[in-house]
Amino acid sequence: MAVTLALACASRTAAARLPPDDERRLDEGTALTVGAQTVKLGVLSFDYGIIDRLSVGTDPPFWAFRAATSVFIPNAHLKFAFINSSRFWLSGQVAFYYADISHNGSSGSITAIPFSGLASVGVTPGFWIHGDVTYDLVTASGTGDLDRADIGGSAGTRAIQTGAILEWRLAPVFAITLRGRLQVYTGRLAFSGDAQVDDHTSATVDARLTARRQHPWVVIPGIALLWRHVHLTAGVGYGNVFVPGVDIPLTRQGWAPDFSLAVLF
Amino acid sequence: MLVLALGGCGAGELQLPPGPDMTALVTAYQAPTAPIDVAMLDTLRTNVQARLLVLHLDWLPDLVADALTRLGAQLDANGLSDPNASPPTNRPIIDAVVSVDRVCVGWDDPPGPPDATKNGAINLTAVVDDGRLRQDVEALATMCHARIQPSGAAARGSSLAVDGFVDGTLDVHFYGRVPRTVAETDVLVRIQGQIGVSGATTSGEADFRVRYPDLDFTVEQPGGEIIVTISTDGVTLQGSNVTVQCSADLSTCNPA
Repeated sequence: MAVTLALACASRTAAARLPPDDERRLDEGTALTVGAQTVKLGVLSFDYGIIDRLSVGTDPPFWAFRAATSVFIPNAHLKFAFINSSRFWLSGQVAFYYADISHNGSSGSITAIPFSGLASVGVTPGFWIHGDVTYDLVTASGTGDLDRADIGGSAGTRAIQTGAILEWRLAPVFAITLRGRLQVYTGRLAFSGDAQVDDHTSATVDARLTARRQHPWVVIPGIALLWRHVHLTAGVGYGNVFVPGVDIPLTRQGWAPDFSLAVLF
Repeated sequence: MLVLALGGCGAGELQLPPGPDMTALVTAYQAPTAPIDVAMLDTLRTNVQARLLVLHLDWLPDLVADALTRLGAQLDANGLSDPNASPPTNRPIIDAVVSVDRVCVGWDDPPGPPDATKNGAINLTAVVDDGRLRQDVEALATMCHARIQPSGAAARGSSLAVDGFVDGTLDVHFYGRVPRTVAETDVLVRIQGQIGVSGATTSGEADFRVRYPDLDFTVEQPGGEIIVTISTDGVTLQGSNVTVQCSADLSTCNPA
């Protein structure tokens, strides 16, 4: 126990020397982690920093999805920083989302596993560039209700995305941000399954879903308020809204809000 | 209840089969092309009755409609659009091949699972192309034995079950949505193969339209075809020049 505490304290002390301050890190969509021994309860993500390099978490909005629809989406994510120097972070993140789309005797499910490589570079102490490349590995099994495979007009298809955040830290707790995201590759999602409709009837369905918008994008200017125990980011931009976490873009293009509020302790 | 097969292996090279082309037949049922010679109604009545014997309209439409309702149920289960229903533009584009296998009920219906080998089966293949179900689907009846309780207008109130038999290809054109109940059926059917009842089957081609409970079929006449409608009110003979209203048993006919 004492050894664990000592390691944790050492980790926190080391991390505290790194800009940005470990308690004021912009950790969502960047290579930065939430910090060692830190619990973050946010509207978009619950995270726990096991050590400074490693955090695990889940996205509560997907759990809450169950309250509004019959689709149940358990999910989890893990982020590990391979490099966490003072001006350069390089991290990998993997997430897991599972959606059961069974309906009326036809059973099916979708599994999405986004793999992200993230890099954060402190060009100056007050100006950071964060970038990521994400490959969304999506598989489907069975058929189910194909309508439920849709989220705002986009199927959870295989995709490659790239994103960037420019962060100007004007004050220790205040930053101006510019977020951008582009889906450079959009794949198709194939379903195949058999169902026994009744004693006399069986059915086979082979289906393919194609997203209507092949290269969705978004640009969002915003702000970040990063107090010690409360992190707030907000912005409004234009483009396709990317569902936070799983990063599935909605088909509709228009004003795109960005909001996140989290409590850290 | 369910057997899963893994899908989602990337691009999903789904090949959509071409399906039947029923354009010419649909056109033929839009309007009669042959005139009716009112002076020759007796001959026409004989032709219509002969055609009725071939078409087996007292039970065959019920068999087809029953199979189509299973397809409708499967479309609902998979959230797929009906023909004529515009697919929502804010949804992904769906291409799909839906195959429904219906083991026929047989001429006797012993307890337990149906015997596909003995009873035969009907296989329906529907194609969803760019989010919309194609209006024409094809089916294959393989030695289908089915005891049918007639329910349409052609049954003329008879409650006697019929032991029907079909072996051949069926093409179906949907005028509206795929029926969820037999009473919703509005389709044009073309059958090539063997059709009949216990002990009496014939080979050939037949076509008819089911507008449940009414039925339409065509009869060749000099100069084209007339359209015959069987409804609960009787039989209507529609020519390009005149419409003739007949009694249900065709014993009396008078120009309308």
